Amino acid sequence: MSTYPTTGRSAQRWNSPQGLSLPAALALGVVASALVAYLTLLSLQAAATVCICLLIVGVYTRSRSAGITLLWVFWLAAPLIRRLFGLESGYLSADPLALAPFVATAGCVAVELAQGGISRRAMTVTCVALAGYVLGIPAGLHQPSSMVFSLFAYGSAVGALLLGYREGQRGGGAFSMRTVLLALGPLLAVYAIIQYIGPLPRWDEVWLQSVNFTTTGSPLVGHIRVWSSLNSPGTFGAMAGLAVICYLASKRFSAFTAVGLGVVLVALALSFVRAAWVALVIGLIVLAIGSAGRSSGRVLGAVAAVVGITLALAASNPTVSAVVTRANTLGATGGDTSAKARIQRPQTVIPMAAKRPGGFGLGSAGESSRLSPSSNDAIRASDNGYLALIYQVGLLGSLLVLGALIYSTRSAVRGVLRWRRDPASALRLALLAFLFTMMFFGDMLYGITGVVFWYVLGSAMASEEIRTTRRWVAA
Amino acid sequence: MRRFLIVVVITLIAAGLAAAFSSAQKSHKVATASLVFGQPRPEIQVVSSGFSSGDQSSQFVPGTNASLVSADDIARATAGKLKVSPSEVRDSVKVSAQQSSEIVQVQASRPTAAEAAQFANTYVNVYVDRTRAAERGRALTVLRSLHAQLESARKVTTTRNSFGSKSAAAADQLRSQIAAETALARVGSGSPSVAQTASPSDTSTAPKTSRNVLFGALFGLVLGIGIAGLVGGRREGDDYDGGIGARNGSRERSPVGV
Repeated sequence: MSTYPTTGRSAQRWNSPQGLSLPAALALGVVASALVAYLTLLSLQAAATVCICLLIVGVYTRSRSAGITLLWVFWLAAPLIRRLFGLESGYLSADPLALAPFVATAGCVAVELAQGGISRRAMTVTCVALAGYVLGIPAGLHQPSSMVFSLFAYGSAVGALLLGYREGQRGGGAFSMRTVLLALGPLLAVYAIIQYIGPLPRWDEVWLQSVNFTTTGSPLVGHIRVWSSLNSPGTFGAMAGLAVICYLASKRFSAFTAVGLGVVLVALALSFVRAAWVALVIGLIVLAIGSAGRSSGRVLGAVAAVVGITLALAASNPTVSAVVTRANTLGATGGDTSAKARIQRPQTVIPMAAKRPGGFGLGSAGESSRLSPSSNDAIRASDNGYLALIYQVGLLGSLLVLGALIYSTRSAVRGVLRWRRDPASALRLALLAFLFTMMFFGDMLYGITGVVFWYVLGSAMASEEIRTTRRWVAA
Repeated sequence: MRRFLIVVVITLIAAGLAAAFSSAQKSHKVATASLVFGQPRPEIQVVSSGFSSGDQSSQFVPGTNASLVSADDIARATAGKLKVSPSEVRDSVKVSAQQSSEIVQVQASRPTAAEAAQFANTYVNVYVDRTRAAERGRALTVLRSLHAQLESARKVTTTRNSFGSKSAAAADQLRSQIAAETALARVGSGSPSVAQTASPSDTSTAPKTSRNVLFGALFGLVLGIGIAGLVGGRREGDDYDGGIGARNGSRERSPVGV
């Protein structure tokens, strides 16, 4: 029987001796207030970053459930907050608020590390993944700003494994991300639909004019590919796909669930993100199989409804027709520039990566490379998350990161195989299947999707350990 | 009650400090003028359809335009016109470009609205004048070269056109180029041009004290709630602190984090 030794101190309750005293809190408050008041004059974004990060870490310290819920909400709302502040003080290319969700996540992870009580296995997986990214530092030193941002972004996402782990320790299928997505999914979807119908809200319109954003063109003239409160259609498509899986894996399928699912599906279609559609199909197949048939009926019902409505409206509704046309391009890549680029990308990147086994450096691919004007733009639009990883950290680094991912995924697979009655296990595996598939189309280890990825893995590991412990205690 | 006190105190301190910092700042007015880059103006295209301002669709164009406008010699020339030091112009004027647009904004911050507008307008006019002068200089050089080529062409080749008159094909082409260059030398390409002048009656005031106090209070409230959470005491409710082992009372023996 396997056991999972812990590292350091136990995860005891936080009683009054821990935490700040009243004078210390007031002293910190005065210093932080002065800083925030000063920053308010210079940059609202910077002041908001300090406040929101302290708020989330403070609330997380007091109540993990409330803190992590707040953290998810902030991840989903941060780009919208940036756009609203942008109306007041202009848009910045290096906006401190862009860093805020990563800082807040890192703060919560620091709280967990200070608490201790994480199993050695979970810590090892975290350290191995971080080591993989660290290998990309030397080659990335020529672009220090991109490298540091990337290290922080990927590192804080890896740290989310500890947040998922701690939540998974609670047992009983605790899954704050699902709760937040089920509650906020319809709101985000309605906002996305409003964006599609138009006119765009002022903050979105001004933002769109201010940034170099090329992925918002809808196949239907006069409309856009929606991004809701997030920062791109791709990210929104990924989160909408995850929300659909959460809806279909719900314990109870009420009228609210059905309406929420319908609205989110419409928004997902309007994002025109084919990768999310493909990944959703894979995720739903895994959910149907993993739940031992419990979710099969819902999945089939949802698929039948989508197909039926699409067929009924395809001829008369131009939007549905555009969605169908977009879906058809999955099978015919000849005239599709985006698809051709994705197919050609491995042919250019793999030989380049083979020549440099140490990689091109952390931050040389993906969004963080925007911070370095000198970047060679080789793989800025990271059309393939696996390639982006290999390109940045080299073969060994990517093996470490992917090894950590696959090792943790083993816990999710075991959860489904051993505890077939547990709906949370099937949900975790379906979410992971979705994210692993999406990795073929984009970097899912970065940003909110990266946090979700590692969080789900941490939850799966804790769930497996808890069940093993229960059997051990019973024996 | 203790936490409530912390929240209230921090909110008040943040709002108060924001007001104090804001009041301590020198009051100044901000005026904005803007330049538009891009293709030659339509009336210029009539006489000189042969030239263009290059590809304006590239994502690098807005940044390039902004860098050109914020060049140091423009600040020096503006300072000469305004009879102030170049560093004063550099400190007062901010140039910015909007992505995906051909507009470059020039913002001037000065103690009075009239001064702010004067700085912004002088700056954009200096840039336009210098660009036109450079354009005219190049056009005149090219014009001289074209005239010389025309003289040579007249001596060398002549052809008969469909109407029966004698003409030189090369000379015709050169004449049309001379016409375009003459127009360019006389009136310029029209790019860049002043899209909007700054007006003393249309300025914003900085610092915005009421806005700063409002945001200071809001941020203070958020900060206060966060810091209140860091104060010691029992955690709320039955949070997932102890893991399964703690709930089973097997802290000593459990292998999982307890």
